[in-house]
Amino acid sequence: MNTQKNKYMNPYVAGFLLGLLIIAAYFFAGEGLGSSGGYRDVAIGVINGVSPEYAQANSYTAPHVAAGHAPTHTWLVYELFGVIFGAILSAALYGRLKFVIGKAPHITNKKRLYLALIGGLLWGIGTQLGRGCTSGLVLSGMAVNSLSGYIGLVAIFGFGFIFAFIFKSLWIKKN
Amino acid sequence: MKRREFLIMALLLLGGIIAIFMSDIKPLKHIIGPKQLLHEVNKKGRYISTDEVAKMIMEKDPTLLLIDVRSPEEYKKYTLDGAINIPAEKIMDDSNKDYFDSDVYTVVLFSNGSSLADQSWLRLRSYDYKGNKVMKGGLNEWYRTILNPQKPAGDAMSGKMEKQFLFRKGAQVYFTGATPVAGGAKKAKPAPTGKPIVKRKKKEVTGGCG
Amino acid sequence: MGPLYPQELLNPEYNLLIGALIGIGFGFLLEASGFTNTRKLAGIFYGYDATVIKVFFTAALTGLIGLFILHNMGWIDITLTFYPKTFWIPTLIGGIIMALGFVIGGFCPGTSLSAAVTGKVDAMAFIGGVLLGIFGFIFTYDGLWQSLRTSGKMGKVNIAQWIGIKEGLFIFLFTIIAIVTFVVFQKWQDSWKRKMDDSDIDDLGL
Repeated sequence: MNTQKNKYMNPYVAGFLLGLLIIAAYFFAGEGLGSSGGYRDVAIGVINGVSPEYAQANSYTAPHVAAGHAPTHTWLVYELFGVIFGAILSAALYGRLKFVIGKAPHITNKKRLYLALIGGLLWGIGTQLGRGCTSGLVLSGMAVNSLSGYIGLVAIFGFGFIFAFIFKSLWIKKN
Repeated sequence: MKRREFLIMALLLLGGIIAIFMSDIKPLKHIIGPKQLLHEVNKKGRYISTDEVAKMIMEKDPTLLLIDVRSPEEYKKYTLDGAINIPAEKIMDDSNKDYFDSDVYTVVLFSNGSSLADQSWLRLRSYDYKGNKVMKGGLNEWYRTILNPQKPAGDAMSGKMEKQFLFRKGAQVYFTGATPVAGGAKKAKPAPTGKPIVKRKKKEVTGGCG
Repeated sequence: MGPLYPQELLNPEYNLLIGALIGIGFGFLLEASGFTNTRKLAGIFYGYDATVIKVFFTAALTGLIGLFILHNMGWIDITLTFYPKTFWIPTLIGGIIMALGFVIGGFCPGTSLSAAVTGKVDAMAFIGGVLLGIFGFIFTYDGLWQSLRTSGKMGKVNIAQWIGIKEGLFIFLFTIIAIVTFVVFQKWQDSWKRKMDDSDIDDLGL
């Protein structure tokens, strides 16, 4: 028994339960699971809070602020609140609730944080352009057989392997 | 492979096999919920006035697509210049999809009054077709305002009303060939013979080998 | 019967509450299956950890088969749900940008949130990046992105109909592809395990 190793749920069981959650989300709310949509709603909420005039004028944010309710009062934002509690609950149960920086050992903390920031930046742009992230676009899209979900799958994972080959040194130490 | 993993795999495989024998999910068009539909019905944004339609016809606006939703018999007797005939009960037919699906046309539905065109609009809207218009008052209004415009009563004719009247007089000349002096409407132009050729919207670029 | 909310069978407050509950399940499963560990996520691309593909494909398949059967039994009408419209050009380009972000940043938006709130500092930096990216996108949308984002419009496209086969057959084929993928990735992962000694495995921090 290796004590250093983290304990995780069986991936197939977790996937199966996650699939049932997708069904539940579609059954109750008519929505798929999503993440980037919630981030977007929060960002639009901030812009609307600072300058409602700008939010009205920008053609990307305008439909969201015209919805008749606060731009953050959406299903996806509430779902993200749930994600926060769910993740903390699980981490507490498995005893993983502590501050760490996840990285390959040969990468410095500073470098890892910069890379995470840049990676996030790319996701911010990519999700808005591509209409969703791995959960909203790909997972939920695939669950209803939408072509967009499969395009997203091929783009994110297919090109992921290409980029992973180029940036191998970020994750795997050279021998 | 652990037993529960095997169980899940077997379950998914069984589901996949069952799925083969099930039918496809057909109407892909999103259907608008009753609440939103009601909201939009009350908004009146779908209406376009006979004056606006007349102006677009006279300017030969290439984006205008007039659709007569009355019966073919009525259509043959009289219709607007360049209008095509899609009877209200056939409006959701697959063959007509291209007219409503495009972002290119300003689709204007009309009937004798407003109600038949309104019904058609509602059916289209409930299947998420956006941007279609209804000619307010229909052909009756068309006759009253364009083919046979009456001078507004009294001396209290505001500038705006006068302008509108002059426009209508001009439109009357355009559509009926009436001389400006001979006030009343002459016989309307006969309906165009046969179905006007309407260019179908070009198919959108599809991905990959589509 | 379903979906309940779009047919007004569920009032808006309960709908949001259910959203939060589903979110709790989502967050729990992400954390419990190890998606908050950036090295586990990166493992999919190098083959030393197959968790991501297992969870991901199992979830997609379960959802796909479940929704399809429920639809056919008349329990849920998928046509009334959020059905993503396909804009193939921006989705492809956006997806490639996301792929780059995935490899460089080591997270995706959902996993980063779970990771950040459970104390992963790198995930907090990642979320800061995501929000900056979204702000940047919004501020430059009208001049830079608008025409690209709305290009390649195909409407609501079902992949089976697009290919031209029966939907059920597509689902079956996808099930087979997924199971083959599981086996391949498991073999890949096992080959890593054989190559490495115990200290190397600990080094991966899985």
